[in-house]
Amino acid sequence: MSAFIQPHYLWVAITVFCILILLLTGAIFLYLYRKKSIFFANAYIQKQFEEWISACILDDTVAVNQSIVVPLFLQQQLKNVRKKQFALNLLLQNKRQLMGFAAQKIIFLYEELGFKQYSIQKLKSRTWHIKARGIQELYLMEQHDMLNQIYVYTNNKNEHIRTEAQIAIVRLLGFAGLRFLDILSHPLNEWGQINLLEQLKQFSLTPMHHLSKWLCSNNYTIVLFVLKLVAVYQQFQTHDVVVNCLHHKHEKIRTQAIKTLARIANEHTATILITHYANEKFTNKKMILEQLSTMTVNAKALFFLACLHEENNVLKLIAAKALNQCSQGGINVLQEKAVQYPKDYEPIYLHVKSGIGV
Amino acid sequence: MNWLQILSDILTYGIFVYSVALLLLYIFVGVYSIGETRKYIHKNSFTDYRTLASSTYIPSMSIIAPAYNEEASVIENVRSLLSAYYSNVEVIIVNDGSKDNSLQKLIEAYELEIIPFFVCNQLPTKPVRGVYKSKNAVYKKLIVVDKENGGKADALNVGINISSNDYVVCIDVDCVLAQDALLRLAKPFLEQPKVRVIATGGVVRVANSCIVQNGRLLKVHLPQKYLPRIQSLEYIRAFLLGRMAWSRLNGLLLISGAFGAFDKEIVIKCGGYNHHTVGEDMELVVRMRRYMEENKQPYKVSYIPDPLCWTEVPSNYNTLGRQRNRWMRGTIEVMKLHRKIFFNPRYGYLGMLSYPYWFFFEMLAPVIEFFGTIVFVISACLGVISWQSFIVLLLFIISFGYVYSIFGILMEVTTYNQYKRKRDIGKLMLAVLLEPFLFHPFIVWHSVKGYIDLIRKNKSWGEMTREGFDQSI
Repeated sequence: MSAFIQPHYLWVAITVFCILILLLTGAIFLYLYRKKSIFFANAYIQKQFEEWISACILDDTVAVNQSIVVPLFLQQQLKNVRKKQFALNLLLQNKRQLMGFAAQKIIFLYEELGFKQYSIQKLKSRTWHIKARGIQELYLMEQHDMLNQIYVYTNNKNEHIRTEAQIAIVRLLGFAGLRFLDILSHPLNEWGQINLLEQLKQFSLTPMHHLSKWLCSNNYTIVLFVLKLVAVYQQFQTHDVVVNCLHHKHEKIRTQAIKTLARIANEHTATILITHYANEKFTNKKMILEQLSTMTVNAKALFFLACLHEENNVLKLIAAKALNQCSQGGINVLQEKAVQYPKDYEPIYLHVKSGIGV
Repeated sequence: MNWLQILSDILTYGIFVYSVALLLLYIFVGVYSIGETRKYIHKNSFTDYRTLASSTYIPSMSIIAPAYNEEASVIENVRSLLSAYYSNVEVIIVNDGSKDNSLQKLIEAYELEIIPFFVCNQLPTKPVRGVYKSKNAVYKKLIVVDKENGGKADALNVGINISSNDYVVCIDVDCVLAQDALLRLAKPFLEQPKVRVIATGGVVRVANSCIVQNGRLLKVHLPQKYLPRIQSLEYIRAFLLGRMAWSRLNGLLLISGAFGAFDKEIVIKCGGYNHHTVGEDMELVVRMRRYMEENKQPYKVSYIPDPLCWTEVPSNYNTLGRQRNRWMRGTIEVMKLHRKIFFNPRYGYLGMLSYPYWFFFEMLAPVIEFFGTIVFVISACLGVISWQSFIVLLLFIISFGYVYSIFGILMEVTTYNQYKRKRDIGKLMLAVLLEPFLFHPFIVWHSVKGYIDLIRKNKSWGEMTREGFDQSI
């Protein structure tokens, strides 16, 4: 071992480290220099390109479906891939901010400048983030003719490609785009679910015929998403299937099922939830109490009264709040309790009386 | 061969093997972090956070910020927290029995009134004196809690008891957050369908010399003084290289107490922050991980490299020494509390990799370095090793340190590039040159003092004196 710490070897290592220091330092300053040049080049393109875009949008003689003349300077700039991407980003930014005819003109410019081909090239890329970006560009620019090419990626094994493709299909087709749930075998994460729900906000509701089937899916993330969908769009016809979800092995699904049932409640829902209460753990017990308090059924008062004896203070407090909300004499019952057992119930009574959230 | 020679050989070769392992680990961490950071940046290149910002489906979060004697800056700091760009959030300021006028200032500035709030003591804490909310609807997100002094861990536990949301973001009240910090911090919790993300940490950056106005970071500057400057490099190395690599391995043991988000349900199940250690931030993460391992629930501790939280670091040697002393005591206490997992295969990566790494290369490193240096100097004086060998070995270690630091700067420049001027990068590199002679020995010495203080049962926190942010534009 002593051979390794001989000065000779250490000198070699020190020399290697010194060379590395020089190389890394060179790389840092080269990178900074390049970054600065790119910054100035981009600033120049931005000015020219935005002026041209504004002129095109404002110019009534530039009509969609008519070919336009792209200025020579722009044609030259767009030969460079980096500059092309920068210009495309500017166009996408404008598209996000504009609506109506101006947005249509942006799409028209996107196609005329050859950006669509560029996005398609990205779609064919083997690198996941380039492919995902290509999909995003195509759906932001409303390229409906690319639906089939994008659809095949909705069940891709890469989560980022998959998520972008799913958003694309829903963005382009609305509720009908949810058909990808029929073939989805990979998980649909919560980030993707939020994105899909946000996209759907832009469309008027159309019938979703497969809800019951999706609610019985083996893929628990699909069940979770569809439960949210049922709650947001109040799909009352699925009530019984949602009730079955209360017995699902995944706690998250049971939690969401409780929330959803409160949104699509019928005359039996409160009783179902009250019966289910005893089988649940703390989180879902809390959820049941919270959701019951939003439903207007007077018969629940006795149940809430019983829950005031729960060991857990959080459950006690929610039950007290619910009792106050659901029954006219609820606050008087709480006051009586507070007088009888001031140590346990007076702070709860005062909290509820003051109307503070839990 | 006499006994002195045998002892010298054991020490020399022991230190040699340890040093080689440490150097190889640094190389591994540096290289391994690249993939994780690149992946994150690629992912972010097409992520639209605006969707999350405007969504009603985002998870609810509670920011918990303990405050102790912060009257000089508490109003501004709370304003900064209230301006966070997130729709479903509450801000809980816990006044931990301040002796100054912090509470009174908050009451006046935010039109607070005491409310009969029933605190569900899910975690045991010191008594709460009162809970305040604002009469002004503009500040409806704000809750101020006044409690008896019990330390940072106790204050955070009170905040958790008060909080009504699913996730808690524990931060230092003097931190300046990027406006989209909460949005970015929330995303990892939503991305993992197969495992439960129990905590997410964000990068903490040095705010000394930066321009901060109305609680917002307006301009990033490289710290003017040497100590904060070298700490900004230290933070870059630790966060951009170290933690990203450990995040990729799902082996993170520490989420900085200055800024981290936690799954509240798991925090409560684990019993919250531990009052009996000064390393409460690390202790909580280790305990949460242990809980998940013992209950065989798949989980992840996530980390994001965006510079989201800016904090003022010590700018004088006294404060810095106290801070590092405390960090070391905290590390030792956590290691001791959780010694059960040391090379325990039942705990998977946690027991076989993360804990041993922290034990050997974070906890023992300063002591080995300190005594190793002494042994080498004595050996050289006694002629056991030649002065030439001693100096070459020293040069070897120093030059490796330079390579690692400059690699850290390269990573910073090619990713987030907060210091845009070439001159600033030059200054940072010059600071690197001095580090092995000035900063590093100081840190090692105060870490060793941490050991001594722990043996003497000194439990002090070590007050942090602040200079305040630059307000001029």
